[in-house]
Amino acid sequence: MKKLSSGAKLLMVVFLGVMGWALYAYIHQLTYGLGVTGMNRPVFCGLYIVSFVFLIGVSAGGIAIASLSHLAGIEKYKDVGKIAEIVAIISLILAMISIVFDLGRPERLLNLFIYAQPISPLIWDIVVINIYLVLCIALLWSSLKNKPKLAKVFAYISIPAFILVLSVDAWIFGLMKSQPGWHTTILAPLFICSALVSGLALVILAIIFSRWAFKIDIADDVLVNLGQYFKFLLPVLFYFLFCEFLTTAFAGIPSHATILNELVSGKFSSFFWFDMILGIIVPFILLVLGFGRTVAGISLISILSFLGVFAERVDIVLPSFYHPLLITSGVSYSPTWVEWSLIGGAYAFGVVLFIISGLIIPLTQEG
Amino acid sequence: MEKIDRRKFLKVAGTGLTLFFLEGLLKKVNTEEIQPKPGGKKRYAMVIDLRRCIGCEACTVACKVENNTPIDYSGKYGRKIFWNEVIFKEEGKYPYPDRNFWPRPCFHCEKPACVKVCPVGATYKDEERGLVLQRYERCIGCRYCAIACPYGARYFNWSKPKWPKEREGAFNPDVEMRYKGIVEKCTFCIHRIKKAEEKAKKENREIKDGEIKPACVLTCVGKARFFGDLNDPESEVSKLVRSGRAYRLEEHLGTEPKVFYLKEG
Repeated sequence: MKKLSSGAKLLMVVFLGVMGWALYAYIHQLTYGLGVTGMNRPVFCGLYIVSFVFLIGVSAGGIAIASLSHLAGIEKYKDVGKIAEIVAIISLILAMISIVFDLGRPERLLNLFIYAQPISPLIWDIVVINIYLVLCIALLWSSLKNKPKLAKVFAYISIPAFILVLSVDAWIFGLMKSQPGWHTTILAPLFICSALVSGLALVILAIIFSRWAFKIDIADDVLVNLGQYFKFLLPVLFYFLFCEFLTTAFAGIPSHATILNELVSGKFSSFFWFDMILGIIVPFILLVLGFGRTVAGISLISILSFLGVFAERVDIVLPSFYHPLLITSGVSYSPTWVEWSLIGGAYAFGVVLFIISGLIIPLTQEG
Repeated sequence: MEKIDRRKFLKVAGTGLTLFFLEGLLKKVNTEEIQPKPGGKKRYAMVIDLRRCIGCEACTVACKVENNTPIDYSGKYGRKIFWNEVIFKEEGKYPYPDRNFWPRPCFHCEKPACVKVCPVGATYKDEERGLVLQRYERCIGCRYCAIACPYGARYFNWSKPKWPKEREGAFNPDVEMRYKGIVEKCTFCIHRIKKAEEKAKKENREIKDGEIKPACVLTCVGKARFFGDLNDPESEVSKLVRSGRAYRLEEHLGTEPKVFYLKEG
């Protein structure tokens, strides 16, 4: 058993408290229904689904880094692999929790298996997420048992798997012709790219956290090298978003254009410009200027692009609800304390899980 | 009197003429989609004549009473449940404002977007009658159908349904009660359809056109609503739907709604 730094111990106590509070909030929600959230017609999804989409992205991004570490076969990347796999599994569990929060009747969850309708994208999602979860666990198991050949096989399979998970996740939204803001072909590639950005960012932050919490030894240049992938991912992300916005703006179809207006200068402009400037452009400039060569610089870049992707998820999921095709009055949404508590509790649970698995599992080869 | 110059005259006359021809060219409802389909099945549809509708919302009230939909006390518009609702749209400014309205039940689409997305088959299409219905006992409350419906016709029970005291004990016994955490919507008054079917069967005859009247049709003060079988080419709805005045909302989405509007102008 490894020693935990005293700061991490304190963090754990605080987060356990947050989880307790979230449990109370969930009982409150179960008793009084989803009416205790800020959701209403036509804003049928809120923070829970934003969080679900974000976490699926983080998870898939994490597994992409993990498979990269196995396939590259570079010795110093080996230590990154396990942390990336743990991050991926935990994010996936949190995503599943988020979607259960969103259900009106969670006790009927089994209906999804008993009465599964193969045509529903939600069923596709459940199938691929479960396959993906098994694959993630298999990958972690093979790297723990030190079976590099088996790990390599799983790493190869996990590449199409994470593309599929993210695509299905995007199709849940993109296939809805009733929501002009979602109904675009670019959504699946966009989801993949932003997932890689957020996954990479969280893996880098998790490595920095593990060095502090478990006092393990991972070299600075591993972090710096990982950070270099942002140089490629951020411009691609920007390009995808630009394609989408140009198509919408040039065509000017009212139902689509109103949503773009909402992003650029409406209710969601703060999220939009945060994502564009602080989430994509500033980190990229910092990288080009060479700030990515220090751990402090790379953490700043990771935090910014991580939050940027979260803002992007908000921008994808929510604005479309504000301009429904037929309902014309009374559209508003703001998350209530129950939603913030549940999401806070879920993330706290994630950190606690990470600390526990960091204690049980030897993250580096030295143990 | 204002002098009309030549240019202005040409402009007005040109627009008028174009509109006149477009009226003929733009046949609003796809004829293929409203053809009677063989097989002896029913395909119930509704026609709402906007020339007769005065926007009084009596249909909304009648529907609430008929179908035991709850009253919301939170004061939030987005928490209210109306199986039938009148959509108002205001456009333009003084001195040329315009206000239009469309009473909106569920459109019972021929190709419903909501049925496709339901993960558990709680939303299904009743092929015998051409209705889109909800199995309350199966619904998990994911609200995916409500998101997929382009017409906002689906309502979620955000909290435990509530009614004024006077209403308790005076519910319509023919309509199943709903509870928190599930989605509900207009059924075209399926209980009334079933009653008419039973009656016709007892008397060993076919259901007559106009025999079935959902609550909103029955209550309409302007007699603006018509209900009947689209598979019967001689029914009143079929005749009205074939007229040049008929159109549907958001037709381009290809859901083939079975609620038709007859335009005012």
